[in-house]
Amino acid sequence: MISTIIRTVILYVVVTFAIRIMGKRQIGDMQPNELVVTLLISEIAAIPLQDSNQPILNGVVAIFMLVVLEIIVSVLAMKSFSVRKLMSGKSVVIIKNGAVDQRAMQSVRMTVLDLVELLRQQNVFNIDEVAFAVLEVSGDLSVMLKSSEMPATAGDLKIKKAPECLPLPAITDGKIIKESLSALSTDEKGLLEILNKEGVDVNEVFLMSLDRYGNYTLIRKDGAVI
Amino acid sequence: MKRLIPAGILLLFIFCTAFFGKITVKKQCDNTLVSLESLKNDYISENIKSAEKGAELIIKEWKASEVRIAPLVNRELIEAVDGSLKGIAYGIKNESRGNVLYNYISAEIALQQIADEQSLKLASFF
Repeated sequence: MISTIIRTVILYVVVTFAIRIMGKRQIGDMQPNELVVTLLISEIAAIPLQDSNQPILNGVVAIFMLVVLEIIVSVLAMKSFSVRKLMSGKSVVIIKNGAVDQRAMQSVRMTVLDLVELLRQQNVFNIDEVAFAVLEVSGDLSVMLKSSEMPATAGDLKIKKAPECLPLPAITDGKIIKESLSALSTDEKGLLEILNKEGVDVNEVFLMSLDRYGNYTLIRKDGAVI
Repeated sequence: MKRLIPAGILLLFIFCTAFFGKITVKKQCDNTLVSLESLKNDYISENIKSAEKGAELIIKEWKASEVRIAPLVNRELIEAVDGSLKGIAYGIKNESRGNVLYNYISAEIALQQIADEQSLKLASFF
């Protein structure tokens, strides 16, 4: 039983390491080859766990070999369009200039109901509003609305807006995040000044987000939002 | 190209494991097969005392080999060789010629199977 526990821990570490090396992706966003490798890794890891006669090294070597192949293929795919096309396929334009390309739909075996469902997932309920729709390799549908159907932007309305800035968590659970402060080009002193102004101690802060213009949101541990 | 570094390290680990694993397993199997052949010759030439000693020695040697090859070889095959070697020792003590020869063949087949698993023979791929 102890050996089973040790084997499980080893394989857990190996599989986590393998998936980590391959990169962060959700199952739905995986390319076909990535999905195959992920499925194979889980299957291979299960064999030495189920059969204690199997040496664990066999499983580890097989998992590492799959990771090596996956990395090599992904690097080749980055360098060469043909490899990328071969391994992952290519995007297909389903709606072009407002017209549905039925031949393209047949080539990807997509029914009208599938198309309508995918459009609804993009908050498009009327196919007539669509100028272009592209079925991506991941299976998602990218939609571009006709210009008459696009919502007006600040640029269209000629409204001046403050430039975008990313608020970062400066304090979480009473702890100052120094990396955020250096990214915001400020220091602890400036942060403590804000806290003094609000009459809040660092230890009382549940979350404080700050942007580079000094705008902040402060949530105290008692739930009060400042 | 930086992305290929982890792949290179893993590949190195894989090749080292495969290469040194093959050498280690082949060496242990070959040594045992040679000792087994000499034991069989002793037994056939009615040199029973030498065969008895030889059988005990092979069992001891195999126990030491087990430790070295256990991370690389299926446990069932290791146990099969172990069982056959003990069967040979039992057969020699109890003067059961059939038992000795049967277990000799079983041990030989299991040892060859262990060596084949690490080899590049076509049969081992499929």
